[in-house]
Amino acid sequence: MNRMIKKFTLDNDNMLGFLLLLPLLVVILGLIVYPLFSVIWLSLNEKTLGMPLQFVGFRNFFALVRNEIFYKTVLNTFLYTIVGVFFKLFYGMIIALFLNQQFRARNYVRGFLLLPWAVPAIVSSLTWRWIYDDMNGVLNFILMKLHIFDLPVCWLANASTALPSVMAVSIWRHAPFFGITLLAALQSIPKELYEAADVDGASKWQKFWNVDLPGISAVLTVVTLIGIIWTFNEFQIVYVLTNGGPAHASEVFSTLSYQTGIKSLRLGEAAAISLMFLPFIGILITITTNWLLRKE
Amino acid sequence: MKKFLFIVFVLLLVVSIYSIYGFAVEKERLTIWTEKSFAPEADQAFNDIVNRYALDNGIDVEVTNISWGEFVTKLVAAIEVKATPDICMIDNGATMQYEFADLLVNVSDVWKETIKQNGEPLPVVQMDATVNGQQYSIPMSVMTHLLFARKDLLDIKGLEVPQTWEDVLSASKSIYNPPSVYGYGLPLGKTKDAENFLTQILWAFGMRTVAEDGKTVVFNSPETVKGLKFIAELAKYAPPGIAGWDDSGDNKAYQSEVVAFVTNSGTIYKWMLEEKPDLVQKTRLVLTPSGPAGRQNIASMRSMAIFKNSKYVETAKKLLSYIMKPENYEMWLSGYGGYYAPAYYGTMNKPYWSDPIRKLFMENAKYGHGIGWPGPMTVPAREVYSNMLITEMVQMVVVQGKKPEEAVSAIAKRIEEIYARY
Repeated sequence: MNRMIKKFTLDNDNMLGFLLLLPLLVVILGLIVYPLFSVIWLSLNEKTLGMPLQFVGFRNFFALVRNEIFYKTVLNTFLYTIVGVFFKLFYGMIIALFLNQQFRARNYVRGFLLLPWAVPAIVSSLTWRWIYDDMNGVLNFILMKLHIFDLPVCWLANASTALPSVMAVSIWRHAPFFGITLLAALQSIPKELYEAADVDGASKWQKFWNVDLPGISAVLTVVTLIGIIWTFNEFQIVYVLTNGGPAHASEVFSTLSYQTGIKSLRLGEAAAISLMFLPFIGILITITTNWLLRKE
Repeated sequence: MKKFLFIVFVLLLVVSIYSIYGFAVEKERLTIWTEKSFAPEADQAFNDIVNRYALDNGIDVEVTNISWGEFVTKLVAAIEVKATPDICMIDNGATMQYEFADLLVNVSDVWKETIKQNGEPLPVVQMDATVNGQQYSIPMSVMTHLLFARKDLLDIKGLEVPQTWEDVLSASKSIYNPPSVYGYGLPLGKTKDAENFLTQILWAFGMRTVAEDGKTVVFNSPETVKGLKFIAELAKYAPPGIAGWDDSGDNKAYQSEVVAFVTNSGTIYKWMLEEKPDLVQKTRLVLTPSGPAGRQNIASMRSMAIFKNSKYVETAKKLLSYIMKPENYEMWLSGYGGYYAPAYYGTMNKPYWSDPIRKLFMENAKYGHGIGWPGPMTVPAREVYSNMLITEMVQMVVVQGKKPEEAVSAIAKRIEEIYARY
């Protein structure tokens, strides 16, 4: 018996390698593959709380396509993602370029700028909720003291300001991450390239365009991809600040899915919402990965 | 090296298997989930009662107090993975919904014992706990919402404390002086408070979701439109941010003296007594205002149920009976300061409840209806309530500027779709 075990494990490199990889495979199968297929299966079923699954094919998806609120949610989610990621990149780049300069207390500033990202989302969202508050919020207090407004603005309760207000918090929270990541990329660019650019008499703008950007393009792409995925699936900030309201003005996929699944208890439909744009994200990931691999 | 790696692998496997099964020694251990309420004294009293029982009977009981905002999320997950607590606090309409999915234990025996000791239950709680003539939960309390009125502001304008919704509107118009003070603090965020308060105003104007049969949807009616128009008018004199309020929005507005009126349970009153006694002097509490269709309010109930997954159903029933013994039940309820009304007439007659404010909360509870009123509490009624469609309808008019008729028609369609599924 012992000899057999020895033959199949210790004497067989492939088998031993497989055995050592097995725990990781179990984790991947259990924590990634199984939940993913469970959600896909759930989306093809009618499922209410505590009741057995009832296969309905693509009915949940068709129901969504007929739902007026869903279209509003699609528009909001894309706006939230595109505008959000654009500004996160923009401010992230400014932060990175700023921190790439030599100045006193640079390390402290770096640490300080990371704070919004380091603080738990729930805490910062609740703080922002207070900042935006129409009756006791500090933002309205300042704006009214400066005589910019005579009456408080209902940042989170107005259909036209709710989504931009939530976006602003998301940008504030994530821009430092973009900044630090881009800074790391900037610092990996060889100094010789800048020296060569100086010799050629390149302006700051030309150095940024011809040295910085090509040097960080791979990181920029990955960070954009991560940003899109994170922003697309963002829940906590939207949920705490507006819960998708008022009147669905800031409804995004994650809040609609939560509302449908947890509040309305239509779990199959909620799964369909969360899967609706999985192909879009999948294509985005595939294109980016292929592009990165080609570059390598 | 290979041998070493192999031994490590086998050891890890053994430890993993042991950690899953090895410690699962059979021991009577009950888990209870209850709401983390606005009154820590009540939560403490409940924990004390349960711990005393556990100590006397040599069992382990783990009580988890969860804020109501998270409660449903946790419970939904627990139900789906079949990891429900043994005993769980549930709210109005949940008994019907969970029993529909065959999740609850029949507790009619505990119910009979409870009634014997605490007296007959209020009709609304009996309806909430009963499915097909059997009881699947034990009612604990009824929370209704009184009108909190700023007497000092009314006196300045020479007005009486409002008794009807029309009075509230006209007083709001008189007192309205933004940004210092607004009229009625009408919650309009997608919250339970908003759904409750808006529903009771619409009920007072004659809106009904379904007929008495609990099946025929009668939502799209002139009464609903009239009620909605009234709410839209009331909203004009409310603070501008009401559509962004969470459940504490109206509390904060009244506590910071920004609004002249709110409807609320005992939370504000308890806070005022502890933190701002001068505001108590300025406040008058009256029953929920009446409308053209009478005085109506929604009864928010809390009950205790036992889930079928429990391995210790009999022990859970005994513990529930113990909690409902009059001395324990009253000790627990008094932790709320008396602002949750008892669910049983026998308890209501005890001296503790003779205090005028507590009496008012109890009186108000008698006008309380369950969701789905005037029909029975049904699963679709619960779904309509959980979807907060009334709040959505009011938001359509107040936030989006839709015509009331259009909003009523759109929501009526959604209600009909829900009822058609059952």
